[in-house]
Amino acid sequence: MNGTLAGGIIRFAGRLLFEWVLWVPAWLLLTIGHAQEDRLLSLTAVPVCWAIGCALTLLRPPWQMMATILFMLAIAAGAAAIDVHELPLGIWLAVVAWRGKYVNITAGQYGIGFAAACASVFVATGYDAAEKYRLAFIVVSVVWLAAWVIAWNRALVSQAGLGSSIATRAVRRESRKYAFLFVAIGLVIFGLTISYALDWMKLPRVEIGGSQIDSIEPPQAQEPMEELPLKVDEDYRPNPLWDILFWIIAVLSMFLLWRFVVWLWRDRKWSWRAIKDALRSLFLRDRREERLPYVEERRSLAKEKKQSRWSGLFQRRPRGADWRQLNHAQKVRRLYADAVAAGLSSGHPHAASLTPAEYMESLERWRAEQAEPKSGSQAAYWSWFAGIRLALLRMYEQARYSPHDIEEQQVTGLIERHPDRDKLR
Amino acid sequence: MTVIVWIVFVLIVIFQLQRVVFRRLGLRAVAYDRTFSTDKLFAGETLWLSETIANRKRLPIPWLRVETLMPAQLVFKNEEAETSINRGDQLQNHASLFSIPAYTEIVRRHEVLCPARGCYAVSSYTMSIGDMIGTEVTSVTRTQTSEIVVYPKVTAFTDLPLSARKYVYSVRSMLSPIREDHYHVSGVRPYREGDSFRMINWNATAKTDELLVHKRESMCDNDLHLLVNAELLDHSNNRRVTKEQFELALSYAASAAHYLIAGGGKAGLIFNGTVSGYADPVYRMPAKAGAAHLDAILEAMARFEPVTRLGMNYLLERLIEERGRGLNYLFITGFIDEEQDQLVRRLRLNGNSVELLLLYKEAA
Repeated sequence: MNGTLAGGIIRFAGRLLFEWVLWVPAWLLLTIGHAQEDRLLSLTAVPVCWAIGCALTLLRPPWQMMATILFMLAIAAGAAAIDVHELPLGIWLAVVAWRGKYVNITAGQYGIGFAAACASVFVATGYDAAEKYRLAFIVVSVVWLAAWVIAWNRALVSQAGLGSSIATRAVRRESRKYAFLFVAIGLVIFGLTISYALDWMKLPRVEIGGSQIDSIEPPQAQEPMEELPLKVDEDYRPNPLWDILFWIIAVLSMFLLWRFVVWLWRDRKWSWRAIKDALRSLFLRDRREERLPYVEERRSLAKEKKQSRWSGLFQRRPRGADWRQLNHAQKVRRLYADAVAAGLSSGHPHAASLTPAEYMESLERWRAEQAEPKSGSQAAYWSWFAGIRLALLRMYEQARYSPHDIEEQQVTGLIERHPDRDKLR
Repeated sequence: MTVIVWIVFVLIVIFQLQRVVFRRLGLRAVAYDRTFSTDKLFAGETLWLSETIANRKRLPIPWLRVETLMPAQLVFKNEEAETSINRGDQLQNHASLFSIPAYTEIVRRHEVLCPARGCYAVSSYTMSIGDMIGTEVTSVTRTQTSEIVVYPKVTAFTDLPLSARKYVYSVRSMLSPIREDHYHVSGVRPYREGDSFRMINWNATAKTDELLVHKRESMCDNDLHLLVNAELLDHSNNRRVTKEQFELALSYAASAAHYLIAGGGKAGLIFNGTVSGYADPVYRMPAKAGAAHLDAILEAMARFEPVTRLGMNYLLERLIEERGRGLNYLFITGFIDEEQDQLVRRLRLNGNSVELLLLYKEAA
């Protein structure tokens, strides 16, 4: 029970932190020119607004929506009442409150984080006062994008497991490795190509008549324009209501913190155990052995790995003997081995307990049940195989089990219609 | 913004490229095999379902899902809450998810309980694979037929109703009035405790230096015909037996056949209901001995369905018309009406013995 409660508290705290991190770029942009206390206050307001929005979802459906909308309107109107210039800040906090209904951190939340970071980059590009944040915003965007890919991978693997427990921890971990590999490859290619991309995506130089636009003289200096409202005002004094609100929230927070500490101390034995459980569940959760409803064994098939044309350069073991060096019986056995290998590569398992006749029959039956490849080397091979299956089997049994030799014309007849007959002669 | 546009573009290009690679090569050289530890077992027993999946190529598979449509009567132990099993009345969808590195074979064994009698076929499976991100890129449906025959549960012989038990016991171990009471001598056999000295074949004993006695034919064969009625409803008297009672009837029949054949006797089977894979309105299996024949009886019972194809009255009339004599019938039925009772008497008058095992009476 304690572990569950501790886990819930950790999840809630993690969700608050996520919301905080998500809006850091927006916070930096919207509080440019504000006093330090105001910035701190607005940063504190983010988790508070989200938590209130989250608490409002506990109401019954008709009241839940109405209460949330009223709260959002109150935040926006309150900010506008303090100062009309603070309306964007109020709208932003209202959006944060509305997001309180998203309790779980899904892949889409990472997408929103990426979108928010991209929007911040876009704003910072055309806003002189935010130019110093631009590089940081770009880095944050890339991080959000990578996190989004990983979170998307987690959601997709859950979806692949049909929303049940068949997506075991081992499968998730293995799949995540490939997602990380994907991100790593993307970042490496991005790093290698970004300079070319910047050149390539630069706006083309415009030619007017015979002269380039660079040769046009710059326009004369104009009269200074009226300052934009976003410009930092040196004489600007924040509304004293902000200070009052700041102190109210600070005192309230301190009081709640004190109550929380008292509550923890009163049941200190329970608190200590809950903290230990929380830490244990945080750090040791991956070490716990997952209880699987089945028995699983793994076996490496590295010994069956086909030798590539280059592997001979690094290994002493020679490749299989050349076709021309084989005698007739060995050629027949090679053709049989090729058929088994082709079956394996197509997905038909080979059981060692089957006789050659049984295996060939099962292979033919299996091929008949599968959709035929329309074209390509596989279609040609299986078409050839269907024609010579019985002959190949008979000759293989003769080569393998009987003292009689295989005649040359028998092998020639066998490979007459082989798709690679030119190589086999 | 150029930087962000470029990284998104790069990731989209890589994403599409790897999708193409996985779509073309993902399922190549991937073999999946599904085997049951046994193909014949009794109801209530468990077996192991082995899934073997092998990836014989350099390209790993981030995730691969195998879905199989299986009969709902196969119960996966310990897995109902753990795995994706969507159970219906007739079928259930069983899914397994794998992540397979290059050149690796994975074997998974699931314990399966078979609580109900029947023949269950699993004919195909669908494999789907995902790419590096996890999106599904392709899927393929392959055919692989495997069948399990679940025999009816064989109850302990002592659980049979007393009258039926005594009858089967008497058929199997008929003493002097029935066994070896014929005046024809069919051969010799070793002396057994209780044999009369008059039975000793002195010539054979002298030649073989072993105490041998005359082996006589039996007046009546110790074979038993199990006559199972598929009718669950008696319209004339408005009586009904449940499917569970029908299963119990088959368990009784299986138990009697097992007891008889295990003791060296012979058992036959007559059924007037539907048998899957059998076209005739009456299923008949002649009385034979041996373990193979017992398996054949049990397998036939596994395919029985409580759906009447020929009324029991007609079947009894047919048996009477066949003029069989000296046969032993254990008639397992839900109920017996007056007409059937008359027919059974006529069957007895023909020189056969008939013992009734009434389920309705047993259930009441």
